[in-house]
Amino acid sequence: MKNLSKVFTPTGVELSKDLSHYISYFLGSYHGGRNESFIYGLVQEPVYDYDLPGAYPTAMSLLEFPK
Amino acid sequence: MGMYGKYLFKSYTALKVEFSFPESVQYPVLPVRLDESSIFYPLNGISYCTGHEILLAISLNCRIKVLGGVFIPFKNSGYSKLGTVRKLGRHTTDKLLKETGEGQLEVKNLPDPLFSKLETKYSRTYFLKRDATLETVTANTIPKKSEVSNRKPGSQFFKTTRKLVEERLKYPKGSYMNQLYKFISNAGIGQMARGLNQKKVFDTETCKTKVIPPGELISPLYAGWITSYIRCTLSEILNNQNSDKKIFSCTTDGFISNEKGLEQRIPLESELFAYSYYKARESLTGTGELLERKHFDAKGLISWRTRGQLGLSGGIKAMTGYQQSESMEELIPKIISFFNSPSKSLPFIQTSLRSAKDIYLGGGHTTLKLNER
Repeated sequence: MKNLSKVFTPTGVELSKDLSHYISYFLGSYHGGRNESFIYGLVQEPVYDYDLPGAYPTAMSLLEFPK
Repeated sequence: MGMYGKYLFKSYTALKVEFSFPESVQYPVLPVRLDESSIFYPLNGISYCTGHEILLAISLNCRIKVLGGVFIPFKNSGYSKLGTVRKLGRHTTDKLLKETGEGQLEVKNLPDPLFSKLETKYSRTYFLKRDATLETVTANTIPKKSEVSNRKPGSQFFKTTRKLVEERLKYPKGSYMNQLYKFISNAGIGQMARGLNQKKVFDTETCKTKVIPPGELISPLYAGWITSYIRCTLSEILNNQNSDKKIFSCTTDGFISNEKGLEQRIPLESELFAYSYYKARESLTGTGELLERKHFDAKGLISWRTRGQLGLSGGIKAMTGYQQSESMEELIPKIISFFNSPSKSLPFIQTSLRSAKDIYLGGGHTTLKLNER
């Protein structure tokens, strides 16, 4: 778990009383992309490389402000 | 429990959970951190994850026990069924009681087995009850597709993203302007996450290594939501791959498979994230789409590590820093031979530009540097 105080201070953003409790959950659950290799070695057949088009911007378009 | 599903999707939810997937699940979806830079996806363990990942895990019949967490619904999500209750996580409750005094916490009995809302003079935050469990959650928890694909029309996030996508699509794929608008979109998202990982860089002003300061747009809520949504969309597709086909690797927003024609794939009836993604693309570009084919290799590939794949005809290249100096005819036997070598290593010389720290301390200019790898 990361220490939020290192992230936000001394840049002037203060933690409210409750923020210090719940922000660590958000920092803990923040991970990057899923990167894995499921096989190692030689594959001798046609292979196809697929992408989700515009992945992160598409995800951003679904955001809303928090309540 | 069905009422919670769409709110786990349309919320900023961060949880610590204990979980166990059935052994038949080929691609478990709950991330477990090994160290600062590595996460993996085991069949069971303890995970810090998001509401998305909980939804997807439930759809894969995962048994989950919530150990703690926070739930902040989207504004205008319609989540208004909760009042305030006092049974919060022990740590939080104790601390707040000290600060506010017990009498100041309003207590109501609410038919809510999962979430509690804390409303004090400081904030309005929903907490999961400490001992809440999702073990008994059934498929009813999964929201309907319409509940996750509808969007408030005036969303600033949507309007901004659509503007950037529209501008990008005015220019041919791969052109400078097309790439520039792609960069602007991704840079905005990068700014939401800048500083969260506390990476260190050399600061030429102070001649010291310092933690990257947060960006002005920093938000663990937004950054976490975006990355977990993409992980879940990808993981859902992986778990629904045809059983007679294989997936060789995945990298953030894509994967390599031996299945042909997936660029034509549409979301399956059961796929919540794929459907949501498909509809989001439709809203942004006018055309529903899920996958695009980036590369193809007719002969096959060699895979030696995460992000280390080389197509036998050169159609796929993820070289983990290896800088190719030989022809494909020479390179492929070389990589195959390293599988059989005792050291399992392939030494090579890598060229890079001198770092800012190196130039600052040693003088000189931005020149090439040779590194043994």
